[in-house]
Amino acid sequence: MLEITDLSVNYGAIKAVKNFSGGAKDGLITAILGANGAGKSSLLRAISGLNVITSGSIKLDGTDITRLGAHERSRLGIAHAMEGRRLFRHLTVEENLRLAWRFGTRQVLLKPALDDVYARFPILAEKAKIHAGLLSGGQQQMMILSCATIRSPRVLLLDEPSLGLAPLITTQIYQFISDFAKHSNVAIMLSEQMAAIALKVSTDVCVLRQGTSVFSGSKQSLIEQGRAGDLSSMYL
Amino acid sequence: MDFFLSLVIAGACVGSVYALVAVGLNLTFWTTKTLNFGQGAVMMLCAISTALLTAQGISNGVGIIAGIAIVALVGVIVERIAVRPALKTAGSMGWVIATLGFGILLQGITSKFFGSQAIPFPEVLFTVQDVIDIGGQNISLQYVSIFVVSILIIVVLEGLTRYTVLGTAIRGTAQDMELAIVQGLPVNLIVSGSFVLSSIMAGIAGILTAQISGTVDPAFGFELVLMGFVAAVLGGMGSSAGALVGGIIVGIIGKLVGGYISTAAEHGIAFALLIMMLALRPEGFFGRAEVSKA
Amino acid sequence: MNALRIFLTKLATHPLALLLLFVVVFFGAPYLRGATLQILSFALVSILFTQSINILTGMAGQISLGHAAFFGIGAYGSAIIAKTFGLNLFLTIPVAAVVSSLIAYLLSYPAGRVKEVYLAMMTLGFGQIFLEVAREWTDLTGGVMGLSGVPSAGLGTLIILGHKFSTIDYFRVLLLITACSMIFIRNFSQSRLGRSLFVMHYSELAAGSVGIARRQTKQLAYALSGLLAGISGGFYAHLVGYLGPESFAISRSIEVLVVAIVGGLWSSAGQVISAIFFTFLPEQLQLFAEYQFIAYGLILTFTLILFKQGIGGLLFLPPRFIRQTWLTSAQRQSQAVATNSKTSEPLFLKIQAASADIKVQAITMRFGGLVALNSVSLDIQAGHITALVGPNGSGKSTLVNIIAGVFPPSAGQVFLQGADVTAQADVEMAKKGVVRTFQDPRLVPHFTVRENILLGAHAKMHYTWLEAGLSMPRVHQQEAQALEQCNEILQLLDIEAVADQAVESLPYGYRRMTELGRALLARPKIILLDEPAAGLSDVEMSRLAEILVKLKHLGITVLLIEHHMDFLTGLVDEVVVLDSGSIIFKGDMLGMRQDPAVIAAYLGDDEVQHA
Repeated sequence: MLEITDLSVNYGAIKAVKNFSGGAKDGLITAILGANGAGKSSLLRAISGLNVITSGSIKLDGTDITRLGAHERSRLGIAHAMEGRRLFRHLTVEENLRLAWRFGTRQVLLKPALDDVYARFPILAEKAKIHAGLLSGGQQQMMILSCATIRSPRVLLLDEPSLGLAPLITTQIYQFISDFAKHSNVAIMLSEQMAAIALKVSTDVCVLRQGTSVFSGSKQSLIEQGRAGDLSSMYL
Repeated sequence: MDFFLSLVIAGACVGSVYALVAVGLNLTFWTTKTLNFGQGAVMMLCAISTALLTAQGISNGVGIIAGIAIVALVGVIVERIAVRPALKTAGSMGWVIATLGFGILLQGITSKFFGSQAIPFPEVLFTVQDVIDIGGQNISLQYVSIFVVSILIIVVLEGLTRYTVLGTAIRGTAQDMELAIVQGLPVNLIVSGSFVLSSIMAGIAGILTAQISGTVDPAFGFELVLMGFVAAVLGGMGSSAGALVGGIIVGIIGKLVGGYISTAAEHGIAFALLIMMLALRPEGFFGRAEVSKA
Repeated sequence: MNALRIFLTKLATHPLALLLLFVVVFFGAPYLRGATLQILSFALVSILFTQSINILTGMAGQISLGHAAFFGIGAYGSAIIAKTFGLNLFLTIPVAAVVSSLIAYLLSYPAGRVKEVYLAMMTLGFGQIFLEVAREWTDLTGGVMGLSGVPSAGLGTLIILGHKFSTIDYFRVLLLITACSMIFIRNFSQSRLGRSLFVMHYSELAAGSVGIARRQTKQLAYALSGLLAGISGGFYAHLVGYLGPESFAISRSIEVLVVAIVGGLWSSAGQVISAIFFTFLPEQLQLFAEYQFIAYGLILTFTLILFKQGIGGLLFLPPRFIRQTWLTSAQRQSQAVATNSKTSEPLFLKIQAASADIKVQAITMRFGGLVALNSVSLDIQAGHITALVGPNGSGKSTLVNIIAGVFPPSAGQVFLQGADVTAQADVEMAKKGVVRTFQDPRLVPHFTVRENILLGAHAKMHYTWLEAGLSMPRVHQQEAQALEQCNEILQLLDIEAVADQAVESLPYGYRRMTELGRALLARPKIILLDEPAAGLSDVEMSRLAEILVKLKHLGITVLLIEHHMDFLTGLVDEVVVLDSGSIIFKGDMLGMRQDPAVIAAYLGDDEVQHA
């Protein structure tokens, strides 16, 4: 479980995130929505430790991890799939997966973990020896997600997984995310600009606008309050 | 023809040592985009330590290992006190000057405490007299052995980087350090390790070269590092195969120019090649051209 | 401490104090011991040589690990010509210096194309080549045995026009040349050309955006540096009377770097002190001579990390790159104008003829396999404020880069007021009046707001480096005019209060404004702003909006990339929405908010209502 209290992130004078409170529950998905520039990436980077936290706190299963560096947080089980489909382009698919597994929490042995990934995404088995940079966007995203999940994380942070992908692939990916949440009991926080697909799989929602949270609560209440149709004004 | 062949073979042999230096430089360039401009002093330190220790009666093998251990430590130190702080505070030029300075410091300390005289280096691999007959040519076994040792080390290193997890981790860190951090790779260890390995390569190169020249003095190593630069740039910064090809090409061309034109121009031609390559194709023969989206 | 700095700076820059110093040294020379005079002469040579590093490395940021080569070209050059043709040093030194300058200019061709580590290697290699040539070309240089018999005052062999030069005469000539060079360099650094060298170091893109030609600027830096190094080498030759190649090895290059770094990389005053110090030290302190290498090693390793500002930063105020007297006269002018007119709009920015429009036709941009822009066509209306918005990766920055000339499109054309400018590079576009700002302000950190803004006027001033160094009236005129205009811009942007503070010490909002000011001083017909509102407070944002409206009144066309929808409301005439490389909407803000295609692009398909 991830609990964030009153988090602020500044880049020098730029206030990227202002007093954000929220979190993610085990086995469930929290969606962070907002237009670009809203602060979604800054928020996720602060959670994984890549951004320095100006004020506020983050707790992982009750333990305060605010002072820990990115390396330690990763060891504790925070997996972060960064925005922009970041992967090791000149390593093969299998090397990417091995590396992710090797430096994760290693709760499962490598062979079964790899077999799992290849069963779920057969195309990755086909492309196992190909350099990751040569895969298509969708295939890369599948690999990136698999790298995150093969680490047996406690918390999964996904930054705009659907970015630049065709609708069909996006559906496939979200199916995977949603299944994974149910079976692994991992707490998932994902950010999306594309609200629709994120809302489909999430139970909780936060909407960011220029670094501030303009809505935070369950998806249910978003709909009940009639705010769902209002999202465009929250963005635009 | 004989003369030509003997030059080519000699060139290939010294070139393999240049390649060894280049591979060492590549290692730190991969992980931090920096390299040790004072690498010459590292070579010198290893060779001088070995020479001094063996002069005290210690066996060659132990002397060499001690020398290597000393420079491995130097590798850790140079990264800690010259490279890391310079990268943080002194912009793009800082680390070049800081590592250059550190090399000068090492050289200065060595000549202060051991004098600037040349010290004889023991014959570790064969003696000057040992020759082998290859294709009718009498070739010094010392030359052949340095060729074999260098190639062996390069191949082993390449194997390690390609087929072990640590090697994969190094390659990953080289491509995207932030990604490596967030995936829990021990980046600090990898960076330190790359400097240690780089120093070890340099130390071995120093020993091999001292083997040929027979002596070591505190100024030893400077020209060799430059040759390593040229080899690395010709082959493409960051490519081991490139370093090998680059080194051997530089070695052969150097020896040919030295044999047919003038021994002095042997190194000069290498620098001319360096400038040409940087001007025309900075990524070298095997390097990847950097494409940016601005 | 600061009081001391202020005092010392006043002293070091006061014309009378400097004149007094010169006179005292000049006329006091005969009273010094021969040995002291000799050392002082070496110190002067060192000062000159260090200034060559000051220009190339300190100001232009180009590292050089082989500068001994230029020193050597000057030394050998002058010596060889003197010995071969019997000419005196007043002829041979300039000739040798010009040769050195030419070679440096040639080196700038390959050197200007590479950065950092490669540049360091290249200069190292170049230094070695010179050393090899000096060692091997025995017929010319005497090879390893060296070149003796160089006419020298110390040996009594320096005879010019029948008069035998004494060491005192030589010292005085050297002193005069050094003093003139220092004045020249100071004038140069306070001119548009000197300032442009700094921009090369910190941001080549920013330089291009206001019309500063990168290649020419680097060439100038190399050529001037080579000239100074050559002069210093020439005087060295006639000082020692004998040249050996080992005097021009790597240790010489390292030494000059040490002096420059300890003095403070762009502080002439600090470097003078450093040069004198390092020349005297080995003489006075035998201990130092023994530990010289170790000392140099320590200095190079740690100074840039621990003591970056050097002696210059310790003892003096940061050097300024605007001539104070010109600033004062510009202030007076501005006062006069201000009392006469009531508007706070800089009239010099007013577009005289028609406002400029940009037409973009079927622009496609491919990066490898990725299509960033897909046959985009757009008319940016003259004199209007247009916003470019869109989700991540939609191609907005790419389009702006293409219009600004940072790179050409894969296909399609760009027209500026009807003329095809597709192939024009950023420097050309800036000169044509298309100026841009960056997402991340790219300024010279240690320049003041004023100095940074003044960079915008670079392409609008037209004097040469020679005129700059000699401080010709033309220079005064143009600089004063630019400073006046700069004042008007400072007023417009409401940042006069911080005009003379270094930007690195100022909050983000001021830095944004400074970059905007620089762009405005380039007298744009069209200004392209990349996320100008990012990171600004509400107050700063509304100020920015007012400024943009004023620019519109002046006839300037404004195109801005923004995410901040509130900021754009009420400000823009038209908004263009890009998504995945194509335009999906053109119209006003209200229409954009309600347009289904836009909503879908940002939020996903219309199932958001039924989530």
